[in-house]
Amino acid sequence: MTTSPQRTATTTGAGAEGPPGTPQDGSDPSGRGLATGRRARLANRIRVLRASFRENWALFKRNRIGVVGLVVIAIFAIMALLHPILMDTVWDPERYHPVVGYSAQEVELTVVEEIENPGQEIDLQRAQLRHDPTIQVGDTVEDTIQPAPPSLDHPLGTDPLGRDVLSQLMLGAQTAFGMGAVAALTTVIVATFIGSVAAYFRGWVDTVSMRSADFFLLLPPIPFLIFLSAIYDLNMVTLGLVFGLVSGAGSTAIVLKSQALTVAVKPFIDSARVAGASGMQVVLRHVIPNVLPLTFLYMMFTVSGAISAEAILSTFGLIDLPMSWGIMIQTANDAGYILRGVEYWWLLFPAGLAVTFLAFAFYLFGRGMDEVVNPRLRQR
Amino acid sequence: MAKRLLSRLGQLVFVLWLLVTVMFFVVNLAGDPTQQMAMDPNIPPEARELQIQRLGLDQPMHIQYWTYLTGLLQGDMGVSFHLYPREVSDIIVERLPRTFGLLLVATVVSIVAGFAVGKRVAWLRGTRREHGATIVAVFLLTVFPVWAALVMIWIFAFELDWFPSRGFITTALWRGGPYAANEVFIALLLSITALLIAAFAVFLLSRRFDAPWMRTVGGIGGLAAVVAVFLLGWSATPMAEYAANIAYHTVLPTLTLTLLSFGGTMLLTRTAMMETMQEDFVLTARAKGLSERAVRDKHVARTALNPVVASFLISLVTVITGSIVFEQVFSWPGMGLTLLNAATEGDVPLAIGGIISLGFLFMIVHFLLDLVYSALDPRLRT
Repeated sequence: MTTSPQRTATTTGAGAEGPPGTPQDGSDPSGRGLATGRRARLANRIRVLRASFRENWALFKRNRIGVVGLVVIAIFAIMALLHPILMDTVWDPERYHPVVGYSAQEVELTVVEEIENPGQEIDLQRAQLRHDPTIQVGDTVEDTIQPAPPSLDHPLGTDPLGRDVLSQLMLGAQTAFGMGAVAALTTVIVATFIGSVAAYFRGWVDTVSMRSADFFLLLPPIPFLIFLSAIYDLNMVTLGLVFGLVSGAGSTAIVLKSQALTVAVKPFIDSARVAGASGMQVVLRHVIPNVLPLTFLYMMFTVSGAISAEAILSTFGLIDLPMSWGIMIQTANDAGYILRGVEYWWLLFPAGLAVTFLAFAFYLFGRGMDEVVNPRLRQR
Repeated sequence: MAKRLLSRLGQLVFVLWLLVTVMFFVVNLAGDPTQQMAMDPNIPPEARELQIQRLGLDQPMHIQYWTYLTGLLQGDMGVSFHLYPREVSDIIVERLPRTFGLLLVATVVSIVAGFAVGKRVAWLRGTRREHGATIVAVFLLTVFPVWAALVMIWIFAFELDWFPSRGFITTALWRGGPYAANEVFIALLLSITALLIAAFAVFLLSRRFDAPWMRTVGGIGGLAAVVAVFLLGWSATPMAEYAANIAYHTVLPTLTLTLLSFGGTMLLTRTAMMETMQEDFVLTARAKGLSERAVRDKHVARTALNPVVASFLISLVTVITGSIVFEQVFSWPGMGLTLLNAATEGDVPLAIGGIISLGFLFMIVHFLLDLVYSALDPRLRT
């Protein structure tokens, strides 16, 4: 790579915090009790963290797109958290379970020659077969329908198998967040570690990790995951792990390494080394805390990709999941309702837009954080 | 420059070897890949024996690895399980050009359009139009591709009925016809490549005019002439009807792929433009009294082009992923659909072949991109 993918890498001083721990370490020469020293240090650190959080929050708030992203993420998070509660209290599992529930809606249908409003009409032939052979156009019959249009019982209707769409959507949010969290954590851990170690130790460690990063950069995660699913049975956790590993050891590691390089040449690193800290200590206590803000930024973009990946793979039935947004789309499409368009809008829009909006929200949230983490963008 | 490209080529070959090796170990950790064959009633047990011998599965690991590597170099990737008894290499030769064609057209169109729109949007910064365009681009970047493809089918194939919803050819037309589908497709691919090169040449030539209106007229006129030659040339050949049939089936997947990768390029251009606009030389250009358009096109956009091309690799990942999704949704039999089918059928040799050939394609595009980048960046032009 001649330049880094996102141009944040060249900026210095990721967080406004400076080296955590360093001033406190030096300000305790009198040899007070170890316990009080530690407590004071901890209190000090919390104070610094809170101050920097307030400062960063103010910066983040100024940029509206980040806040919009955060709000959308929060809405989906509430949906995911609310699902088990609703299932326990209000929703009868027989009817509302997202996978095995069944609820056919009783509707009064008008008999017509050709259906124009699904959910209100039934065609003559079908009515004669199912109800009464003497029935005529214009009569009404009681019938059960699935997929049923939205009603008070089912705010987003039911799917072609008579299952509640809202309940599915909420469980899908859980799946998406679970997958996103696993992928994000893996990315953060892998990328921070590889980036910091490569930047601090240089030499062969650097060469090996950067060549492997080149490899992972050239390994598109979704085709690779599809390939893996041919051989192994993937579930949410393994999917998240693989996705996080590919993005963490690839592009994110490269960006973080260049960030860690700017930290590794700072004087406080030398001070720490002179004070007798071992290499790993310096990396863990001084380099990593200073690249963490950038890591969280890249985590957001990883989550955005992971959600999309999970949806794509589950649409094609390649992962072992009870329910997800991808499966919802697949179910509706297999039964032919997606191509009916807005006529069956409760099958067309919820799942597809949920994937889009959540990925969109994480992207916006990442952009908002970018302005906090990356001082060069602030002046705009 | 030649030295730089050579070393780049060496690195790519190394990465390709790494890919092949990782695939080998990923597969071998899971045990005998031919187990799947034992369960398929269409495949005789002798065939499984043959496959085991061919892949050397009864040999120790290092010999297996050697067999696998030498086999790959000779283009031997074994026999597909679910398309038994077809050779994997045979399937790849048939289908890889299709995916390449899809990627080529989508990539070129989206990068040209994305750059052209992105630079205009960056110039409007702060206005409502800029915000609107940015939101649309982020939507295109993050939209769920499967869903987007289904919506495109619903709109263009069902509501408007402009394009077919699925498939690669109309079988009724081709049955008993004088041509094989791939023969026509390759010809189409080559002529489209020639068309793109000619269009680029026209663009470069038209920029040599001094007067701005001459540039516009020359550019558009030249482009129209090239397209006219292309269309006339095709209609003169006996293949025309068949080529039109393939093109008719290919428009919708290509359009969807182009739209989705357009968003990424546009956003990238916008960001790069905005960063360049802060530079001192832009102020100088303005102070010299250059027109806004000259500042935008000749100073800012030209500088912003470099990071856009350099970061293009990232959008290439999106495009390749998109091609897999769209080939599946549009039932358009390229390499992506093949890989997906191989994965759902547990067809290990075909899956390996699919991923390696996609990796190979990726490598080639990466290298071409490097060539373009070396030509664009004056610091590398030594």
